[in-house]
Amino acid sequence: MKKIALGLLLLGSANLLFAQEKILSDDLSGFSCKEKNWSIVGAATANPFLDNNLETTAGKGVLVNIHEHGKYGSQYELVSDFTHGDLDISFDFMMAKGSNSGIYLQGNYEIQLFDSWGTKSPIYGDCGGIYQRWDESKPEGQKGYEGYAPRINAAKAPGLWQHMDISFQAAKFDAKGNKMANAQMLSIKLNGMLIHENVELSGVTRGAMTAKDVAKGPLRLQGDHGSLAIKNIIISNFDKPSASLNNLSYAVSYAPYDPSADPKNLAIDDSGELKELSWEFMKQPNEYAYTIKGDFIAPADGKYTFNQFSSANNTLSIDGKEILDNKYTGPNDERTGEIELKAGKHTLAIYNAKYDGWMSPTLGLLVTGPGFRKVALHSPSSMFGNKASDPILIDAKTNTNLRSFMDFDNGDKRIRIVHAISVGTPENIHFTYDLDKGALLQFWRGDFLDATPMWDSRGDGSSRPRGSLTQLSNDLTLAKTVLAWPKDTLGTSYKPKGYTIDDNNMPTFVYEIYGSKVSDKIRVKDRKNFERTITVDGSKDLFAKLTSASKIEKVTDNLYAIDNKSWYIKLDPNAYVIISTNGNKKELTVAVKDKLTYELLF
Amino acid sequence: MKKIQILLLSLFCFSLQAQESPKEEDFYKIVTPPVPEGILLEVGGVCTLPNGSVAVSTRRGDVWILENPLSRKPYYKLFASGLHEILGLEYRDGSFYCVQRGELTKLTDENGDGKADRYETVSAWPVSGHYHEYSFGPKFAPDGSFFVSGNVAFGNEEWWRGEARVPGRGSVFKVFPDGHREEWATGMRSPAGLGIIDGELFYADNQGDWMGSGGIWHLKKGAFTGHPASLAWTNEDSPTKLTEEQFFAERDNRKVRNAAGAYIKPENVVNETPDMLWQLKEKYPQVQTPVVWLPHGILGISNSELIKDDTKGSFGPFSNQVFIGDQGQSKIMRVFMEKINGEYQGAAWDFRSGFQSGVMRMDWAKDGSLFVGETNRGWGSAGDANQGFQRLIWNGKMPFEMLTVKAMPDGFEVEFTLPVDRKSAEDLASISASSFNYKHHPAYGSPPIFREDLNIKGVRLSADGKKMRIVLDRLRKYFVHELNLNGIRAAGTYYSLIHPTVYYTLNNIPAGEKMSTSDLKTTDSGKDKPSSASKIVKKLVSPDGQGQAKASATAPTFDEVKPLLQKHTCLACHSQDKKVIGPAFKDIAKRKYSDEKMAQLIAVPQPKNWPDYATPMAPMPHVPKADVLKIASYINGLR
Repeated sequence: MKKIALGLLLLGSANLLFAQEKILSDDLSGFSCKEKNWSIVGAATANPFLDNNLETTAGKGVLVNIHEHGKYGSQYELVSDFTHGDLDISFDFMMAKGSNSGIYLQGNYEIQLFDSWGTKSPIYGDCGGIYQRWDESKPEGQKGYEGYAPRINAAKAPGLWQHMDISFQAAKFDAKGNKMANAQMLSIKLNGMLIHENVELSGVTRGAMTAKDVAKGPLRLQGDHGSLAIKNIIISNFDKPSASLNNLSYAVSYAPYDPSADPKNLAIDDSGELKELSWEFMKQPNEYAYTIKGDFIAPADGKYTFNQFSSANNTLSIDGKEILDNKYTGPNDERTGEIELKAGKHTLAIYNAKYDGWMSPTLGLLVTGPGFRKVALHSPSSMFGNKASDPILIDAKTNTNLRSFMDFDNGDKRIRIVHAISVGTPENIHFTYDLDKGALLQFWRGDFLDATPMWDSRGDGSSRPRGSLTQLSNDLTLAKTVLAWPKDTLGTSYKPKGYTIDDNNMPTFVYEIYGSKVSDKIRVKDRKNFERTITVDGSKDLFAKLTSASKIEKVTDNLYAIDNKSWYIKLDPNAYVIISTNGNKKELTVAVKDKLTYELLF
Repeated sequence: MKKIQILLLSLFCFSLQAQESPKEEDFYKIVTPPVPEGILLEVGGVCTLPNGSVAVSTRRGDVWILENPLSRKPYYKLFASGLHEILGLEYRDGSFYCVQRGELTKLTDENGDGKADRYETVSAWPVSGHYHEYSFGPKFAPDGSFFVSGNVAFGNEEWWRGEARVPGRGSVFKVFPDGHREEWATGMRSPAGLGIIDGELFYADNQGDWMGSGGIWHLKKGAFTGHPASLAWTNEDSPTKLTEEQFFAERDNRKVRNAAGAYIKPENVVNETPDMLWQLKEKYPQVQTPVVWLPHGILGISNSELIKDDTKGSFGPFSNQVFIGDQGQSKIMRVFMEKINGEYQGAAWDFRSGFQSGVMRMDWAKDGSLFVGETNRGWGSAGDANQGFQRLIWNGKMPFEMLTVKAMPDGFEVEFTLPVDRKSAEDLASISASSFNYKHHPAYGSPPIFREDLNIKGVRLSADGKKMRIVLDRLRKYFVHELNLNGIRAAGTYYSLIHPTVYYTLNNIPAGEKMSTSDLKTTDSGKDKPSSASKIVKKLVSPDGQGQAKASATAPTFDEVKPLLQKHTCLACHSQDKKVIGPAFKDIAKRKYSDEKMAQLIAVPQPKNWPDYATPMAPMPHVPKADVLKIASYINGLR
């Protein structure tokens, strides 16, 4: 009796965590900390130039850790009451300058949260790094091992909201408690950049709660190395058994394409049973039509999402209902379909007919369902696609300029900027400039460009940024009036004049507008910011619109946080600043006499 | 018995002699300068500098200067980089001018370090961002402005239909140094090659929708060359006076939807009374027919830059003639132009094949050799390297070629580089002739139409043996006249012509006196007279496949079908064993199509079956069924 009750209790508490759940938003319930350093506030602000500065306003929604440097100990950490196994967690976080924290999955595997602003070559201890393991028995200097640096440093400046997505898979044990599989970081994204993928961890990292891997452990936030804020913490548990497929059989027809034949009623040339889901029972790679049937075992009630890869015409049916209708696809095209299912046995059927010799046969079927992660139902060799293009990636080992078309999200419309130039720097910060408008279009931190779309085969003339991207706008930078900013260059006498290149291969853009000559110079400053200098030779009454954003907040006298603290504009203290409202956007405009200099921090 | 011996003997002599006839490569050598590892010369522009260096611009956006380019080991210096698919490069007064996709840019080294530090936009023009909106040029106009040309984009649903989404596409425009632009000529589809010859502008276009075949056009101001896309933007101020409305009153655009509402791709209609471009000219004189058609599949499949031989003899006997490159066939053709009734027309030959990639750009080196810039990325080419920079050098020996072909009131006058063997010249069996034209329609390319074999009424060879009048029974204005001189031999050596076939586009038939019959030689030995170039086995043959065919007992061998493969231009894109523009015949054989199915696929190809090949095959419904089945049988014999 007691046993059953315990089982129910476990189910009950676990159920709480099956779906996506937001935690630590309104209060600290479900978590405990021995000290008072963690609290819930309404908003947080950090001055990026003041060490460990983090200021808050009362309210709800933001978890903060206010902690002085130099006071160490586990009493400052925030630990969940629940334990978890396989878990996805995503959250926004804001570092104070010089601060250091970490999120420990199962209390044992630390993903580092760190002020890594501007660090060129990140290590395991930088933001997004998987912290080292530790062996006390080794000599000094050799104790740490198996730390994993992020692929690139995608970290932003202190005081800005950053975003992390972690997909964690726990270690697996047999009934006797022997470890059968190591824990894995399936993926970690920092500010949209994939920085880890399928990293297998041989054991717990330094500072773990337990010496050995566990099946379940709590979520744990480090609190003793400086201040930070975290919000929008969403977790999803994956503790339920996966769906499975069995009793597979096939029936196949081999014949050249006959447009007059009923494709669902072809003569069967071969049929039989299958041990695993694969197209490889077939005797020929083309001119076939097959149906594979099997029992799909749904472990629980809920929504099931299927992803199918196949070549040429294919369908997917569950219990006779087509959830993927008959469609012609390429071998690398992913199809997605959903269905609500009750727990238990269902009939699954896949149909595929192909009469195009150039495509390889392909069959991939993956399923995601209530409480379990996406699993492949096919055999590993079955999901064979035709080879994708070899990527053409451009790194900026020195300052590098490249003209290309650039696709750009302009509000809810995707537009193609056709006179664009992207400028890459070895400091790993890069930007794109629209030569049609004299506009700073976007900037990013990470790697420079993917030129595959432009240089593979005929190409389409475009390249893509490879980093954590901030898109601005392609409005003209300069205009004569703050009111009614010109929509295009009509009536402005705008004329692009190209650019000059300095000794370091950095461009200064030149154009004419309203009869004035303008030079627009964007350079790396302090190895991590951009400084933009606009010089106007002629008219003394121009304005520069520096941004149009959902929100503009003044952090200090000359520092403005843009778009819910996504990036900063740092102005000259004497700048004449106008912050205006245009529809649902705020605009930051500055008067330009001869020269305007400002910095972009991100 | 004696007779047989003589026959055998003469056959033996003939074949021996024929084999000994020199080939292209015995006069024109292709030299490949070494390229440092990591430098990718996907050439879009070539420009010889006054100091003898050569500058090369690339599709990857670099401008390289090769110092000492005639040496065994040129020095490579990066002058500029980061530009947008530069498809043309010129140099004037210390600056380079290059055309990027969306602008004309002036590149100047102001601080004297040998690298550009000012990238000045001379003029930026609109583009929609479609992949096919390439821009080509510049060429310097005599008035100091620049000629630039723009490719059409293609439709979204109607992916086959060239369209001008923004002004300037499908046209040639002038850019002035102050940045303003003026339309010059319209009607282009893919104007990849511009050339100034004697101060006048010419351009080459490619086969495609509304372009029956490639060719070279003379572009007077306001000329319209056949593709209607650009007419969407012409207005009262345009030099082009033809309107879209007028055009489509004469031509069916075939914008037709099927029952499901989807557009149907226009295909060649086999049984119709076709329209031809010249007929439009009869109504609208601004319509410009080509100076020469470059028959698709024979004289190229994607014509590129054209350049006049101003080497004063350093490059061989063809001074003042025009050379034109071809991307897909990796070769260079030769054109002789003359002006009749105020309009250009002329003769075109093959000249030199065998470049490592698609020939895109050319310029003369200081020593009179020819720099050749190459790329095939995205399209494929006979030369299987993806890119290249090579040089073509004349070795000083005199090739036996037709030097010129001039139109006469009753036929043609052919001048040779060397005296001709009189016996071979005065035998009508040495020559054959035919004429044909192309459709002007919205389908992709055109089969040759209205083809007629022509009777040779007689010939007359000049006393020095270098000029031959050929009198034909019928000349057709605007038609391509194909002359095959494969029986003609050089005096003394008995060599064959290196290129025995010439294509003369007869825009005008000159007035004047016709030859009197009494002056003509009319002997016809009746020997083995081919009806068209396509039947010539010698000379045009690519060496592959010789004796390698593992044909089954019944299937024809390569040698047996070779005349057909040539006649129907199959060899322009296919070879037996090697991927060229299209798949090797051996690879096609692996698909195990029946002969009948293959015949269908030749008539109506399915490019989606061959996704690894960038250039879709043109439908060939005009090939006679018997020929198709013979070709299919040969291909299937390769299994």
